[in-house]
Amino acid sequence: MASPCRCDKTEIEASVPADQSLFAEADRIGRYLIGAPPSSGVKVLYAKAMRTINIELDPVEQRLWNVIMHHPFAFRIIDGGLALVRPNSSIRRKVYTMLAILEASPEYCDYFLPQRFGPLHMVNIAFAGVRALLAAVVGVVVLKLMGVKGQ
Amino acid sequence: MIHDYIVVGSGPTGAQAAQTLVEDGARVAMLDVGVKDDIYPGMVPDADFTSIREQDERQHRYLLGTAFEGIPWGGVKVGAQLTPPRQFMTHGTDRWIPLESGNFRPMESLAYGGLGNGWGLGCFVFSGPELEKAGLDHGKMKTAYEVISRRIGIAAARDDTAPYGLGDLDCFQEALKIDTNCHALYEAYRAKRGTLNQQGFFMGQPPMAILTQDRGERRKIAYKDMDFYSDQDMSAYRPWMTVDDLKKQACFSYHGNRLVVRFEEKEGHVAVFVHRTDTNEKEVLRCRRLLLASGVLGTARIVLRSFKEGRARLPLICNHYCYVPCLHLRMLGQPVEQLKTSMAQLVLFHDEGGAHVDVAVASLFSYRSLLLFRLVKEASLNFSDGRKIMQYLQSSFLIAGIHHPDAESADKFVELREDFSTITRDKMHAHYALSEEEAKRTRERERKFISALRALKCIAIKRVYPGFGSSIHYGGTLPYSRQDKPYTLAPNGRLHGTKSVYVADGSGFRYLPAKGPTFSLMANAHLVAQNTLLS
Repeated sequence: MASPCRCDKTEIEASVPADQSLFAEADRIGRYLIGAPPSSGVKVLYAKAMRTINIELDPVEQRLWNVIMHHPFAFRIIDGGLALVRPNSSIRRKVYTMLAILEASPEYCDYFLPQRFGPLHMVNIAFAGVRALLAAVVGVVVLKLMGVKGQ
Repeated sequence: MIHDYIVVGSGPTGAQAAQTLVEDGARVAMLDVGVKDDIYPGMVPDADFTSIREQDERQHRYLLGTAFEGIPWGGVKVGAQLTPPRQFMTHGTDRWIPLESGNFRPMESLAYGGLGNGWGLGCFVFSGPELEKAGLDHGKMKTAYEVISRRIGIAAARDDTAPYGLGDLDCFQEALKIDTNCHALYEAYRAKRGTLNQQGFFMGQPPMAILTQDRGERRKIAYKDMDFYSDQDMSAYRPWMTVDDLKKQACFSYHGNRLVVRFEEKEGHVAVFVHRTDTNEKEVLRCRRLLLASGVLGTARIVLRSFKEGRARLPLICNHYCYVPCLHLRMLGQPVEQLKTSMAQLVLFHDEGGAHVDVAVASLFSYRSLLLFRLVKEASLNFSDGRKIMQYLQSSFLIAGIHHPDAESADKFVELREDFSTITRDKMHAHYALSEEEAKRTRERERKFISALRALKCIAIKRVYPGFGSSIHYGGTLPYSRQDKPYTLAPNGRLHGTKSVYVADGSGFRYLPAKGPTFSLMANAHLVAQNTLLS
């Protein structure tokens, strides 16, 4: 097995100021995706991915992004709406990249590997399904009200 | 210096043709661009997928790529399924062998080992009627299949699909183990076999170029589920293994960084014009016999440039393809075993007429090692809830890759046009469209597959069309012909209009059965090499 990740606190502290805003993004997206703040290693990796892939937001997406960053509760709604209205939006790409990074990090593998799920978990999944549908419906309406057009 | 034989290309056909020549004692030079992966070798640990996921802090480097190239975005593209350690296969193709098309997106390779680096490893024998339709000799191919099977090692089972995939093949190792998901599906098939067989459906295990017993340096499969990322243990056959072995022979020489551009037949020899991809210099090599095995589109470029009337339009055939993610209801919420293979575990043939021709086929994969985030993206839900739902459904996912047979038609062709912006001053253009009747038949067939899977409690979620060319099965540009017509091949593989130029890849196949052609391509390459020895 390879040696442990060297993406540690020191690397974060030594990072350039521009990275600090990326770490804040990573934190917000991580909390949205798995309900907990991501590790510092994941944040560093996210910042590196953003610098490498260079995802640019158009003015409309930037407006939505600002809403997400200031009002975390709106994340699911905007993401759900975008999944239908603008599935290839740059915001979705940022979240997707973070999802991939979380999946490829051993500390979060339990969120992604197949598991044996009991009947109670099915209720949880059904709840997630209903919530996803509601978020999508509300999201589409909100995006329309904000003047976001489909791709 | 005049070489006895020059083989162009190191993919499945080039490697096998060269081996046949070398085994006969011929002196062979192989010309190849030979792109190699200089990032990922040695990076993937020798461990199984689950252990890696749970323990390796650096897994993101090869699962997502050092430049995050393994996080595909946008529409479904040909090659999107390639993991970062396999992406070197397509490096350099835009620069050296550009292709333009509005409706055909092939994958080509200049890699050492060619497209064989990403081959799905299915080893299907064409039936008699399929061989005849393709323009191949049944008796000779039967022997050639055995030769290739002995060389590469095949794991297979003699089950319901044997008449469609295994034929009369004698030499094979015991079949691969199948995982819980596919096993449950297979049991469901066995329970409904009578009805499904009546409808023309036959399910079984595909013959695979994977060892289930050790053979020399190659180890038997350890079911690490890392097949899409590395060739460790060498249990899966890849053509580079053959070329590596050939390099140890005194009568074989490998010349990398050589893009063959065209040839000219001279008195007593063939001049082969080469563009060096490392120095940009031009070279001319000479040989008595030239074997082209640079893939159907690569060979078409070389041949079109080599004839004075090189602006011809060549026919093109390609298995059209779609994949269907399905939910296998029996597996909902069930765990997945740690050790399994990533490759196709079952295959479902559809032979409506019972004539062993125009058979369509679905390869069935259970889903894990290509990672969950790719599935989540397909769900059109918010990513947070999508992740939860997909994690739950993951163990019940089965992907059916449906391939359809293909034959020549007026709306499928390639041609080479002048283009001074490219290094070779030309560019391949491709056009591929199904006739209305073909499209209708394709849709109808897919509907029947989906219906058969539903009968097995496997519910299709949607059909995904990655576009024409995505099957990576091409043929028919220089069809076999007994008449001495330009841009056709004699039955022995010689290019009509030449004395000493042979084509060992799939350019001559007049028909492409839906089952993967790689095994038949290798068998045919062996025969063509034998023919050059006889000539």
